[in-house]
Amino acid sequence: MTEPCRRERDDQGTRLFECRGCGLRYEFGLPPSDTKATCRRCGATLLSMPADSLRRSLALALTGIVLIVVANTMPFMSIMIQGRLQQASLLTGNEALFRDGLWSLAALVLFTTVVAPALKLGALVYVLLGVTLPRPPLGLPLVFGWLERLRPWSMIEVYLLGVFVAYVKLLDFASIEVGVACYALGLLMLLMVMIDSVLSPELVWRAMEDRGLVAYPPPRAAPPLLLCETCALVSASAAGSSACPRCGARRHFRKPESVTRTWALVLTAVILYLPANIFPVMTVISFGKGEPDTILSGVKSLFQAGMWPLALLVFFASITVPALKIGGLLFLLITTRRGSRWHLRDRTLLYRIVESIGRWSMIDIFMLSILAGLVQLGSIATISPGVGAVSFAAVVIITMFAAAAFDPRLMWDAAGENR
Amino acid sequence: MTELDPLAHARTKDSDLPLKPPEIRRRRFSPIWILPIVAVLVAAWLAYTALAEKGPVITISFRTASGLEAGKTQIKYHDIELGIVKHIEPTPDLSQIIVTAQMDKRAAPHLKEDTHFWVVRPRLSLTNFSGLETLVSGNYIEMDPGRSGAATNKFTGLEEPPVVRSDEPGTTYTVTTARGGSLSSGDPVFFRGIAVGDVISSTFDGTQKDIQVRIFVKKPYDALIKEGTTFWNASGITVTAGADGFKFELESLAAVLSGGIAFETPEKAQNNAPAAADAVFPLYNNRTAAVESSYTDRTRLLVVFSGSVKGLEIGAPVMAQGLPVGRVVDFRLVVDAAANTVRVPVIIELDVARFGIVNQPAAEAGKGNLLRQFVALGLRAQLKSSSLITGSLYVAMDFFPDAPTAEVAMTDPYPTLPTVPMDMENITRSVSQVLDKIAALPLDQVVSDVHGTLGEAQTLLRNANTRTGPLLTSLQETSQAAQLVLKSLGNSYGSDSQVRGELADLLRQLQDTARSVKVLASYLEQHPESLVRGKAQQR
Repeated sequence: MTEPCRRERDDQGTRLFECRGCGLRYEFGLPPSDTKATCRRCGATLLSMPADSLRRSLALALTGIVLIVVANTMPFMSIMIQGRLQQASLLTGNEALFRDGLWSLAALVLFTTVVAPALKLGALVYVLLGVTLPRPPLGLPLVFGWLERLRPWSMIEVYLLGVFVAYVKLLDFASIEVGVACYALGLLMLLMVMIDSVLSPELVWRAMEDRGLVAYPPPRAAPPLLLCETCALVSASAAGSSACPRCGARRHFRKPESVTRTWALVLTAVILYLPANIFPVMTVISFGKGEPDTILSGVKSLFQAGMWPLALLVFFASITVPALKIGGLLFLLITTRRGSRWHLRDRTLLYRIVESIGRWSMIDIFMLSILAGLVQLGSIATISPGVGAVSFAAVVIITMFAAAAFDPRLMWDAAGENR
Repeated sequence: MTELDPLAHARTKDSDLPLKPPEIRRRRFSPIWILPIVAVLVAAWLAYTALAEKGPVITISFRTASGLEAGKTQIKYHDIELGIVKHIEPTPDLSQIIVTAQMDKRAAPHLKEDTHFWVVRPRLSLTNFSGLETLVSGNYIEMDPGRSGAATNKFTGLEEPPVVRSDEPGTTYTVTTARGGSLSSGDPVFFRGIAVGDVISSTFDGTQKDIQVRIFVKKPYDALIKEGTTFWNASGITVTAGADGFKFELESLAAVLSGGIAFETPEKAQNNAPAAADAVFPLYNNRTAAVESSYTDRTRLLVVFSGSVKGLEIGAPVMAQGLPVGRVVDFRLVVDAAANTVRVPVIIELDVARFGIVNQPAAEAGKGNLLRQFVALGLRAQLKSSSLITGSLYVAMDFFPDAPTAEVAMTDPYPTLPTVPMDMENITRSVSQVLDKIAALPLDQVVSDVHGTLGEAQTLLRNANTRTGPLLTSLQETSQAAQLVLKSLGNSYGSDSQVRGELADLLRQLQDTARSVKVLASYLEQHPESLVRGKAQQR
């Protein structure tokens, strides 16, 4: 049954698409469900068509809200050191970081593990539920637009890995009881990944179009065409307006000042990378004896404890990934500047890897926040975060920004592929 | 829907760019799943290592859970943590406490039927303080790994720590004694005053005549135990007032307080084979008995005295040329109705080993011949007074060339050694000799010397007097302090315990002593001359 306000679709459902990886344009209608359309030139996904995307996403998001409440209110872990019990919830670590004067880290951890996931789930429920209501609430397009920007900052998945590393580090001198919140967190991680996999933003935008919440794009688009970074609509750049006709976001032909901004951020990251590895990330003081741990020595101690899978994971996340990101972005910047045609497709793939892998480096930061929150037992054992941690977190965040600032289409432009 | 076939609708719209249709694939594995997969793998691995490191869960029953805490109390072996107590629950009938502990994997091979567990808590005894570190760290359960027996996970905890751990190198022996005395588990075993082992147990099972005392001698010292080693009870102080004077034996202060066993290997047993483990030895009451026991080659003689033997005791020494060579074994009064005489036959025992016999022709190697030979030369037994104070007598074997001839009578059951009477004339002659000597003394000079000495003695006394005060006060303080100690001991030992009673007696005696010293000091102050002249007769 068609709803009253539903309007007719435009001509036979075909739309213009632009590959975000290489800038190649396509025009096609929605592919069948459970398929995805990928760019023939660079392999990037143009449009994913999960079956029953909206309803499944809504169900998952509702479940997620229940779990995130459980994860943040129930005890997360309790440790027993020399007979003294210390309980921690997800927020305890942030408090400890804040108490130790590292409010920037506390804010970062709080945002990425609590605020961003909660906002993301809340916004999803608001939009997906709102779109089905007879009288949709206000601001759905705005909320959904922000949701897209928030996406990379929800790091529940990485947080769970941080929990594992912290658990192993604690095994040395404490007996640990894992609380309900920990299991909730594990489930939440799976849910978040499922949501990312099931949710297709284009379908949500189309649903909002159908409900008349956003304008249908003009049927005939004449060049020059612009890709909206927020809602991925390709439409003509109307004279005098850079606003997207669908979501209203500002559009650019390419990411503004992409190369300059990427250079600046990458160089900042390079500079911060040194203190991040030289200064201790944390200091474990047990019975008056303390030894500062740098990132590398932390990996070493894990390895010596026989925890080599975790040692490899932390080594990969904390040492390989930042280096890979910085090196990869520098490589992309330099080849772009030279207008190199060398392995354009692989370089685009490299960009996608650099963009998606950045979050992994947060493992060490999360581990630190958990340890600092749990191990506050006065003279028996105290773990305090070090200066290196702030630098390291800065490297992670700045490289994430750098990856976001870089526009891979420029590589293809520079190589003369887009003209 | 018509959109289902996208290729049909993909067509060139923009003349600038060739618009090709995209590649349509089935949605397959998405790389965002890498992270959860990694997480699941890590979690699985962590779970595996946690499970792999976990050893068996065991239960230990104790009579009391005092000082044990679930989740905190550790099970240790030589200070290495091997497990942790998980639950503490009473049995349904509340008779015991069942401690459930999660053991380490390393402990698994050592959990045998003879594995022992006990709670290490502060223990104070007269000679031993142990487990003091647990005052800070909290009590823990110590494990003594089993050596044999089937693997099990149910144990009965010991209420007291075992005296000897199974892994301590050394050997156990058994000594048997008629009186267990003050020996108890944990008492030291001494060798020349050094503690080299412990008493494990002192048991009397009713079927055996003697008390079986199991002792443990630590590793290098167990080589000292040979066949023929003698053991004696070193408990307490042995004071013997005999014909050979006062004897005061004391192995160590610890032994005085708690008791103990000492051992020694006699000279002639030095080259014997080392004793086997669990060998049985007799335990003598004191060192003297032990030493005498080593003279196994003994011969008995009969000596008959006609006069009074007042002051002679069984065990009184037999001396030859001033050396103890034997002892009095028995005597009785024989009234000869026919001859109207009263005799006292005394059986003496001689340790042959104490006589170093040299230059004896091999043909005459019988004891009787030698004895006869010496009796012919005047060897006689005689009662002698050993001490004017105690009036005790001993049997002396001396040569009296002037004595009337006599022979060794081969009486039954022992040969009889002729005697000479206790000679009072000898004594009076000696006394008159002494008097003569006194008369010859230059008395005038002595008197003047004494006069000078007296002056010095007075000065000395004055000095002494000033110091007696502090001495007395400190004696008093000592007894007060001791009383305090007693009070506190009373708390731990119970007000009616034997230890406390004995200590109270000791204190009373100390006070008496202090009082006597005080009286003596004041008397000396008034009568300094009594130092030389003796106490004046009361008029």
